[in-house]
Amino acid sequence: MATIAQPQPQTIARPAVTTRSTGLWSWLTTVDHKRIGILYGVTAFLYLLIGGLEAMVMRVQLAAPENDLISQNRYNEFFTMHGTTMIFLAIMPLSSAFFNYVVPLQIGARDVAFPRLNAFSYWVFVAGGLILSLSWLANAAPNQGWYGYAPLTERLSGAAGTYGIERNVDFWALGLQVLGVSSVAASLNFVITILNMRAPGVTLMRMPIFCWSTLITSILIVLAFPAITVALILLSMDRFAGTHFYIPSIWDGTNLILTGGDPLLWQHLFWVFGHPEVYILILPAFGIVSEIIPVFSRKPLFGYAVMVYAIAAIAFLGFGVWVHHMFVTGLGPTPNAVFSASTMLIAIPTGVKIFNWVGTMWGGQIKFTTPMLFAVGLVSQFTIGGISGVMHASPPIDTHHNDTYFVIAHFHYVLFGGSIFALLAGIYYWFPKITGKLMDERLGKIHFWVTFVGFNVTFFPMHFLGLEGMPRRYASYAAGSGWGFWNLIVSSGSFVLGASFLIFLYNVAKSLQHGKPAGNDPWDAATLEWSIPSPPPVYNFREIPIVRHRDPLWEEKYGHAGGEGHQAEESLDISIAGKTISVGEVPDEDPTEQAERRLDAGDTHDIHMPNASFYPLVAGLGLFLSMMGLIFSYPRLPIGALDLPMLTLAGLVTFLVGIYGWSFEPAS
Amino acid sequence: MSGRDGIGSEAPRTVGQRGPRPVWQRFGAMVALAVLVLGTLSACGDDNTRPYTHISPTTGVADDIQGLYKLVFWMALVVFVLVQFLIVYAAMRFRRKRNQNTRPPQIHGNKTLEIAWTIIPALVLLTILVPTIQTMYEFDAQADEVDDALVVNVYGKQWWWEVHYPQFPVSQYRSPADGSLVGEPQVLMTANEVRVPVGRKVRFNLYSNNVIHSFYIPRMSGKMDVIPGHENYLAFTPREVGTFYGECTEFCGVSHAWMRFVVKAVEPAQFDAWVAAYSAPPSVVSQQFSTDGDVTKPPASFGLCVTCHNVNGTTAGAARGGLATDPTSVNAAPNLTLFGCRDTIAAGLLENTPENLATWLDNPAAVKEGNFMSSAIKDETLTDEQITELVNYLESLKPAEGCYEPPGGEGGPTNPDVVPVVSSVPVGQQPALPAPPPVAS
Repeated sequence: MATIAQPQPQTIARPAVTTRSTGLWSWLTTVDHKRIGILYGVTAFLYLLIGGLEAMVMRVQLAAPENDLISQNRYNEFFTMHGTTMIFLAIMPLSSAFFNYVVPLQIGARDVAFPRLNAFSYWVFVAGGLILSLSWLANAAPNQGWYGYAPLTERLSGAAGTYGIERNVDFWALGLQVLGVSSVAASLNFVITILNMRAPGVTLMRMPIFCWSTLITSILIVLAFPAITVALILLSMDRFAGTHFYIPSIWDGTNLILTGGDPLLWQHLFWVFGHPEVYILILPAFGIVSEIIPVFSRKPLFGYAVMVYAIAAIAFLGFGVWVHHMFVTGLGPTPNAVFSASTMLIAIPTGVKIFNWVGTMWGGQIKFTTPMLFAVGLVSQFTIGGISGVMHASPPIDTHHNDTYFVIAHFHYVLFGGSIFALLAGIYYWFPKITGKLMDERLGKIHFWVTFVGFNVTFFPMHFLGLEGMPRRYASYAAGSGWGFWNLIVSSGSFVLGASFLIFLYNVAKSLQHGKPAGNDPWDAATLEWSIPSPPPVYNFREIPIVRHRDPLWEEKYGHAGGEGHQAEESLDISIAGKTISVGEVPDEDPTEQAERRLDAGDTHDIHMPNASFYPLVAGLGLFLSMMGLIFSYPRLPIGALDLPMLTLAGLVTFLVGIYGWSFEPAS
Repeated sequence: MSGRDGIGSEAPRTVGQRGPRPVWQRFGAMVALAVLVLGTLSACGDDNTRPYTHISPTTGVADDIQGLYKLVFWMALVVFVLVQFLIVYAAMRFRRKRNQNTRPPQIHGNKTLEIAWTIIPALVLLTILVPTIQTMYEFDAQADEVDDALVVNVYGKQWWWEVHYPQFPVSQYRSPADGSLVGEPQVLMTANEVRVPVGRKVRFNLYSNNVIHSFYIPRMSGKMDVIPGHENYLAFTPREVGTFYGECTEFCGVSHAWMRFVVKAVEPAQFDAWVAAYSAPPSVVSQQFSTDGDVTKPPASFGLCVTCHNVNGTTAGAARGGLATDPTSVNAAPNLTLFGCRDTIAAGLLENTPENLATWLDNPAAVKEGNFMSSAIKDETLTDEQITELVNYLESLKPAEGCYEPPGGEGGPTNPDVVPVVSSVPVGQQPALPAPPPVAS
């Protein structure tokens, strides 16, 4: 494997490659976690903008009652693609960008455990994104909602009408299936990386909290995605092979045939995935904020251990609350009571996190830089989403809130006021590390306040629309409904929110050109990534660091105390390859001795970098082609001599070639 | 609105100031938002302009939910104010001063505090959970007591509602030869309008033979999904006479937004009269196709309509085919009995006027996207003459003595300013109606 190399006993090894090549080919074949992180970030941000534009088209449509700017079907496509894009193509991969870029740096590693698998994850993500996006060109964008409730997703025709005949649902189902491959592969990679690649002394309970949130999010993905994979396979069999997993009965012209299928089967499978998915979207945000607030408060995270347990508890409970999406499906009072209780239970660790963030700020020396503004913005705005979440954890109340704008308000406070605020905070926070340049603070603060105002004007009135009974997924509404006023406010707010992203893009462009040099550690931060140059060299750490403290850089800068009251931790012995290093003694040695000592101890973490490889790209292309072929197989679409369904075969061959070449390619 | 002012006060011009001013403004905005919520909650006066509000309940069930909602709302408001205050206070009080070189005390945690803010939220949640669970079991128990209840079976269709009253058998086809009733017995059936008596429990059984819908009358009850292969139900007792508005709240395809219905809660005597009018057997003459322009008989062009539609007591033997999965259970298209008394066309999309009906028949696809009638009737399918005769016939489908609307406005013909129908089609004067079809008693 890539991580095994010859020990070089003389001095700390110099990397073979110290300068970057920057051509297109280098980006297509890169296996560097930092470059893959950048690729994830740029691609996902593009999708974030696309998803935002989709939302704004919907807001123009709804700005006035009985508006027919776009047809109802087009509107249905827009809201389906908005949800799907934001969840799977924007927030998840943006989180993934930070996992990729930051986690190896924070744990003192030179790359992830499986660099080529990492590249494969990215290219498969691109493939899934392309499948979903190309649906627009086929004029068959998914139009059944991001949650795709059967039987609306089924392919059926009857005496008086048909639905689901076209490919819309296929683009969606197979696109998500591909994205699932990407997510699971990437997540396994991160679980293994975090468990195995930590530098000496980075015990689990000394890991930066962002690494904890990455670890637990990755575990969530690995455990939750199989549920939607199964659900989508059953759906695809219904659509392509004529099974009836989600249809209770069919009519053959004379007889009613009971099939034993059930639409609720889809809902259970989907939400067993779908609710952990919510935490997959928010836990990385919690991790980012937990990094930023201590740095700009000059205080360690309040209740670190409890924060870790809270993330774990949220993740664990997250698998036991899915029925709260189904409170109005008529399951009866007993299931609803159980899942109401579990849903309220999950609010407790979430609340603990909020209070611990406030506790971190309390008594600190807070500096409101842009990342800090966004981070505190999350604490404030996510709280609103959390509170409204508890409101519809009560099933009788949910019978009113369910599928109304109240719920839209709720989850946008969670996913925008939570996830997006944190991701923007993360971009402002790590931008200097990634580019070596500081972002413009003045523009950043303008960006924050415009976002804050636009966000609240857009989403807060949706609570009122919900109370006034406006359902979700309505392409239009009557003038007499009483919803016109707030809809106009909401639509105006969405334009402010849209404008805020222009400010951000301008800031990024300007800072890339003219940003002040960042230096290694512009924020006086506490974690390892700030100990190395900005941008980091290809090999990250010239020497693998040895860590004795939860906030290693503060410990280095301010001593054991890191300030008064900063308790030194008891020294922990580290076992490497059967030999023991007493970490407490190590820092007194000079670096060369340290290195020799490590090498004597069998530490073979030398500088050796994996080779670039294009096989992950080939394998990803194969998946893309095979899924496109399947999509065009029914209704069959040959264009002239070109039989599009044959793409499936070509894609499988391409995929196998990619995997084969990858398997026999030398690692480094 | 105060809320807009409150939000607007957070103008970005305050950015970059180091003092507490922007924070205060933000705090002020939050208070304004909280006030706005209160305002929304307490503004229960003018329900006519808010036909779908759920915070103005009119049944016991809806009262109970509203009580629970108020409890949770006040607790939520306290938590909201507390947390936002803590954040804003910390953000103001603990700002870094210029040239502050010593680091603050490095506190890693506080067990007492952390235990406190674990246990206190747990207790708060418990005070919500207990009444929640009590309410759910109460609802379920009262929905199961159906001895004296009026039973209404509701079938969700794409995109309209069929309503059956299984306790009321209706007339059958009357043979032209000897005037005897023949044909399969049916139950009283309407579409997109539910009429219920006040003071009597109504149990709605909900069915679908196509996709999932959700049945929601905000001022009377919470919603309940309508799921193929499942029998869900809702029960409540209407208390106030009046017209209440319902809507589909589970996405069900192209025209999901236009799948609405009204519930007319009337005095029991008026309900009985309405049932009698609906159940009366038809005369022989009104069920035969007209050959001489007699508008009291269905015109020949109505033959196209009866492929899918039904009119109780006529030979309009509708195709009983459903959309896809279970065609036997309900009709393919709305039952048109007493169509002239309906408030709306196309499930709450258009007001029921001759002009709107003509627009609808001219090209249904242009009015309601994706509807299944448009697969049979395209633009130009019907001539102007046919449309006119169909409109005249359909609007004539009323009882001789009128539509049994309750007197005095309430529950009666709805105020056109309020009724949530699309108003873009001009609403004209109702023309002098032809003589209604005679109704045998």
